[in-house]
Amino acid sequence: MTPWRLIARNLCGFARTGMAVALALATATAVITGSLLVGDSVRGSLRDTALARLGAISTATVGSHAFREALAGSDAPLLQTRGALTAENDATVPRVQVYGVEGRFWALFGTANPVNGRQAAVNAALARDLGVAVGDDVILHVPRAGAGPADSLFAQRSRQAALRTVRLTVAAILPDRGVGGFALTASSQTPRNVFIDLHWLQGQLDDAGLANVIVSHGTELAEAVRTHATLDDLGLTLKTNPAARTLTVQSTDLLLRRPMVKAIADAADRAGVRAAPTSFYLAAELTGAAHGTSYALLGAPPPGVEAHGDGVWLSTWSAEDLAAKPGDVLTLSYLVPAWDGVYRTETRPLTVRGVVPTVPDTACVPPLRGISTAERIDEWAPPFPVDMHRVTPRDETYWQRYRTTPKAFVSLETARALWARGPEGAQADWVTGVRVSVPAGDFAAQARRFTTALSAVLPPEAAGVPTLPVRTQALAASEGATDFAGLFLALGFFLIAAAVGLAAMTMRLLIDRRAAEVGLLLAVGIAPRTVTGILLAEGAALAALGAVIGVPLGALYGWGVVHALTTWWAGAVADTPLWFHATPGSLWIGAVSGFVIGLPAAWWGTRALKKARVTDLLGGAQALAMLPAPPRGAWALGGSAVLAVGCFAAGAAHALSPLEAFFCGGAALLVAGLLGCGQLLARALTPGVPTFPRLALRNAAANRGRSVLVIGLLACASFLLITVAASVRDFSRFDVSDPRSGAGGFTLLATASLPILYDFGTPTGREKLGFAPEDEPLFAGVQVYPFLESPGDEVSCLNLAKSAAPRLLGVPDALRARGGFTINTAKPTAQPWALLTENDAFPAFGDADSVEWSLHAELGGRVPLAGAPAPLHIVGVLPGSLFANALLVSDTNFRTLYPGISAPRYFLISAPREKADAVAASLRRTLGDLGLEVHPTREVLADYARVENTYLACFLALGGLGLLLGTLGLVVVLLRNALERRREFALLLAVGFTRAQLVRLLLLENIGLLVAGQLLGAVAALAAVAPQLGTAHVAWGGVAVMLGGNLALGIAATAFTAWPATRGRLLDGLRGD
Amino acid sequence: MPKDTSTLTLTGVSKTYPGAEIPVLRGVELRAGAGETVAVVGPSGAGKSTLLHLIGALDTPSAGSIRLGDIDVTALTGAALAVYRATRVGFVFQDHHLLPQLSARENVLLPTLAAPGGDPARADALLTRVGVAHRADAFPAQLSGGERQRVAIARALINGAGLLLCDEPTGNLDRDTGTGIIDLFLDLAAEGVTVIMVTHNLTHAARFTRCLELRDGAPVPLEVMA
Repeated sequence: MTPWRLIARNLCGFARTGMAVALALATATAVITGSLLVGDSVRGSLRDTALARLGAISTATVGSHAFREALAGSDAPLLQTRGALTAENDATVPRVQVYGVEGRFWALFGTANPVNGRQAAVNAALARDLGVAVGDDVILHVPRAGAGPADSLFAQRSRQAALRTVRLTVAAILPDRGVGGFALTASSQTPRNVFIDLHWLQGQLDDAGLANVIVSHGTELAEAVRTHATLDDLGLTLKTNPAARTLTVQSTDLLLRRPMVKAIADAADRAGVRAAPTSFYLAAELTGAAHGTSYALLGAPPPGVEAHGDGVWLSTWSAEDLAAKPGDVLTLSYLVPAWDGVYRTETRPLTVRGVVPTVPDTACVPPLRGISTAERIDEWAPPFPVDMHRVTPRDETYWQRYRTTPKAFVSLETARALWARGPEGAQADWVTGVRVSVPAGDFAAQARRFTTALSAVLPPEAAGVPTLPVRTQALAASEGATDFAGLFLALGFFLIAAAVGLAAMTMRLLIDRRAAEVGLLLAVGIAPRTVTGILLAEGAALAALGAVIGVPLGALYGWGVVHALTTWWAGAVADTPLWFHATPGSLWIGAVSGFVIGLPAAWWGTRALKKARVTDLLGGAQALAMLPAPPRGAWALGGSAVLAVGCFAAGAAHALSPLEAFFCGGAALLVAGLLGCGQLLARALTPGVPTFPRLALRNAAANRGRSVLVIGLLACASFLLITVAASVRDFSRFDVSDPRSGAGGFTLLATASLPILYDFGTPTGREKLGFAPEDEPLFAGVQVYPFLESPGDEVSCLNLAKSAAPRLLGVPDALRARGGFTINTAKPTAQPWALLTENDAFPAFGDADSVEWSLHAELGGRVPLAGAPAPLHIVGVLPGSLFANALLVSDTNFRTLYPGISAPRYFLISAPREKADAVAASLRRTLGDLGLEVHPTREVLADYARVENTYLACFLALGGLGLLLGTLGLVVVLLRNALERRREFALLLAVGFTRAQLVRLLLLENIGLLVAGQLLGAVAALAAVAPQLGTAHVAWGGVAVMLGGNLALGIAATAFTAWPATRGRLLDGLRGD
Repeated sequence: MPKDTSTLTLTGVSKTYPGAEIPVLRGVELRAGAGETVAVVGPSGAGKSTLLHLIGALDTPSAGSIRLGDIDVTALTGAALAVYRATRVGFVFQDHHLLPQLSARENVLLPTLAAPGGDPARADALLTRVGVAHRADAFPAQLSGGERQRVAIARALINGAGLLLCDEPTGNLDRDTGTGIIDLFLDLAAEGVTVIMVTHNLTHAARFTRCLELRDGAPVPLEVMA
């Protein structure tokens, strides 16, 4: 006989109980393994989806502006924009990604080009949303590229000028997985895509020969773009004037931003030429003492005129018109556009500093849509109001002769003082060009040298044409923002704990049954260490068996959870498509984890025997000493009780956050209750006259540790279930009008797919946007707060993918002044919104959950932002807010980070509750074709809460499963223990007990533990969630069913199994021979 | 003094367990009046414990009758059976079968749960009678073997049973302790308790008024021991 043989024999001899231990550990292993596989599945599905969306694409050049289609070379050029699509059934889908593509794009997916001309291919998700099929017509609304910032004087803002609406015929519906789901950004959600023939779309958008995206299957794209990009491709135009020996660099987007101006200046330095920023603007009127001229362009002084400081230089033409001479004071009137569509007129006196010859020079004014190409002034179609009655024949003559040649000139300082807007953003400097002067030498050679230098100092990525490793980024994003393995381990924690506890108790039972055997081994001289080793080895063997059984069960569990996440719990993953994945690593980790957590259970089982005397062990488990242990933990009980009372008092007095204080108080109460149960059981050993309850209590007290464990397990389960259930948020009863709420007092949230170029919060803006006059009364008392919105990844829990570039919202000054929302800041402040404007790199606010779970940051932490000079600094978090999908920065900082974005697409609307629906309907009716979506803030919050609530539902389900498992397991253990007490039952029968009385005794004992556990947990939980009970949407019915059902099941199982425990030939146990 | 002084009468009692071919007991006849002491002896497997179980209504005979006074023990079922066990007979086992979680007094009082009306004061009196009153609040683990057995005897008598059925009560005890237990039985018998004791100890058996020897389940001719 060897120890190993003995172990093997023992395992065979106690196979049934051993199998119970193994199955309990298998359950824990299964939950661990399954949770890891859920993580595998989410990552794997995101990866599969991301790769399927990219086809063979590895890299992509994504321009912030259009460039030549030819820059793509042999790669695939795309024209990408965002639009809205309307079906003939009037269903409109906003936020549609519109791609103009051609054969090379389809080849990257191994697909034939399904579209031609006016045909469109839509993905299945879009077709489903629109309710269209192949052959149906749809209306596409897309923005037309404008010159300059959308809120500048020269931006076309009318719907007709800013939008293009075309009719398309659906030629194909593409599967979402694959080319249909094509996306270059990291989002787990299925995009809504429409694919159109590139050249046809170029024609519709007046973008012939242009693209703004190149996709490639290779890795040489960046180098190719760097090599072949022209200044045009970088968003710059170069006008040469050999006669004046000048070059003028302008932006295709009207204004040159500071980095561009600096780059041009650097290039000029390298080339040994001089560079000077220039500017132009339109004067509504320039008036002298007697005469005036209207709609005159003002520009930078021509070369050779040193213009500094205040004042104006007139061309000879203007001086003649105005009859002005140096020293005269003129009055400049100019239009300042406002967001609401009103053009405010400002005036400023300017002293004539000089008169310069009138020389045709249109170089300093870039092409202005609606103006530059007009043959006559009265043919202008500008976005701003023009009073043609003020245009004189002489003005027309000038236009025909000199076109956009400025009539007057101001210094750059004056230009900025007059026209620059805002400390940051595209209009901050109002630089419309850089004039490079070549004073001497070969002009052509110098120009080439300058161009070469400019290309060197201005790589494509600095000019808004970066080439991105999209496949690598997609793979990184597919790692997911949330560790689902960890999440489901946490959600299943109670299930694991219940299983391990059950295993430990079963192991203890197994060893108790073998007390006499252990005593015998010790009695025959085997060292205690060896005996313990044998028992631990048996435990280890059972843990290994549990791990082996648990791994396939874990795969089943993981598959089940993934299935649930795509069906019942789809809300938790925002309907992200998922498939089951399993990696060997997770299977191994799950198996090893299950084995490792089984060892303490085995150790705990053997622990009790170490304290027993050999003689007692020889008498078997029933003979083990049963002494009245003194009650322990009185201090802990008192401390927990005091802590509980203190927390409740602090919460009630609002000295601490009531939610947190009461939860801590409830938890302390739970601990105090458990310690109290231990005390009660210890005191139950005080002698007294036996009664059935006393005897049941005695039996429970006889194994105090086991009984407290049972009560504790059930109490914790009840506590968790009720507190979790009370955390379910129901925004149908949420008071969004409370400015401190997550809705900030706003009733509606609107987002637009296309820029809304007028403020629909003002009568003028509404008029410009085409609202019906009869809707005007609806807007009385309505306030609109427009936010600039950056591209980037949604950071809410609705996006499972890891965010590389979080979406930002620029908080308007008006909102900062208004305040609202609850903002937790690192340092207490009465003006939390002011933190966004502190002299910090980029202070930002974020939704508390998004910051923690999606960005894995914290208050005071830093969040990197691709392309930004510094990371965002989280200076405040908003719990449960509307802003879950983006981070908030000040409008100024937003314009610094995204100077090219000037039209808001995100709007918070404060409307009287009774009019909110009508206002929303009016907005949808009027701006629906711009892809404006209007949602009650309550619904938006509910959408975010749906994710959280679904997780809570997962937790409740898994916790309920754990409770069920724990209860059933406990019943099995308790009754298995009862079977071990057959001699005791035999004696009771012998002294006159009936079998019914034995069953009653067992029921009293076991049900007492079940009820005590659930009652304690419920009371503590109700105390913990007391502050929430008024507002939380607690499914009391469901909780009651879960707890009551579990209790009923426990009682039924106890009763069902108590009967056989008291049947059979119990009296054989009384035989003396 | 016991409440019950009925005479125990066994007539042609046989017992064959289901599936067994050989009976455990065959035609056992026995009559024991109040205060009588009967020792049942015989080799292991002779059916001694079975006989006690039949008398105590823990089991039923295959044939024959058992009567205690006017009670036909073999006809008892359900509540009547429990009442019989609780009030008419008391068991003492080789292993004391005290519940470890109950004190000595509580163990004595345990049968009062089955037959309500037990008097706690009687428990103390019985503990005094069996000589362990000073250990009334001790738990079994704190008692010696003899003390445990004395507590078990007190428990057997708590409901006023007149018939004490003892299954090798001294089997686990040393000689002196065992002798003390036998002395106690004889004292109880003197007070009117009928004691039927299974034993392998012929010295102890010899102190009883009668001896019933069983071999292969059948009684051998009775021999008056004293």
